[in-house]
Amino acid sequence: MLDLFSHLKFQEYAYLTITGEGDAQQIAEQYGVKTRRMWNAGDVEQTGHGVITLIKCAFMRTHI
Amino acid sequence: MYWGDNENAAHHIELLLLGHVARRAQALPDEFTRTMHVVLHAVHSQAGGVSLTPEHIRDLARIKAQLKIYLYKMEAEGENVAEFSHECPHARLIVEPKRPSVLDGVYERAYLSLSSVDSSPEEISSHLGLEPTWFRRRGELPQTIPRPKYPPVNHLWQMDAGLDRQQDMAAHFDALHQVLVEKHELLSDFGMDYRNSIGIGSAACFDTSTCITLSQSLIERMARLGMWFDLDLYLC
Repeated sequence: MLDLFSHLKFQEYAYLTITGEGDAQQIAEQYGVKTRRMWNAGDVEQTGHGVITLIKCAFMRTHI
Repeated sequence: MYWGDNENAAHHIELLLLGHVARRAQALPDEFTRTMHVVLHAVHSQAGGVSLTPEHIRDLARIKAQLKIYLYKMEAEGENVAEFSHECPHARLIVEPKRPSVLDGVYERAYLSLSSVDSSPEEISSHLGLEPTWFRRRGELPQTIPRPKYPPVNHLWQMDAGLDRQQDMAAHFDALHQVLVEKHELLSDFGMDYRNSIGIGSAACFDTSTCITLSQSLIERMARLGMWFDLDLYLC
């Protein structure tokens, strides 16, 4: 999977996240937020040092 | 398409702030946390940065967002980016850089930076009634290594708040903020743009990554100044 994005290796980029309590899908629908990606608490795996752990949080991320 | 090949972080921020989610984010209840993440990579260098316009800062304040800027060092072509960079655009959450703390050796400061072709550092000081922390004269090559090929074409005048650099960014900005408010009209005489801005610098004694967070309340105070902000991160 890494190879698919190797051209982005040195890019600058920005993205916006919204976090809060509740179900991410429901929150997105309730407030009309169209987002490409969202996670709920528990979706996050500990894959190494320093990974953000969300507890009782919905998480939405969007980018251009 | 996630990101254009030739665009920089400031451009992405601008598009996000103009976009649908930013408009929706404004309407969300305050208990939701909005965060604008800016990811930079230092390639064959120790530094990275982004300049934000007064409009960027104002729009961040409008949607009640905090700002997190990340810098990752990239040593050479072919290095495995996933080891120490954001996993974006992979479908997992981000990997946080080492958390800055004084104990780890993070030095932060906020400073006013003014540039002028015509006004010497002494004239800038006289006009503002302030003394610089550091200045550079037009035409004088700095004693840095490597020395630049060409002498600078303008005078550069900088003043920080005089705090110990081990204090955090909020303390530095608080101390500088009072001066900026008092001198706001005089500062506008220099024409506020990317050359005349508030510098925010963070130097971290880490090998591969660092980050700086500007809180929502700090963003709101920055927005009221109506000035450009030059945000720079360094690894040492």
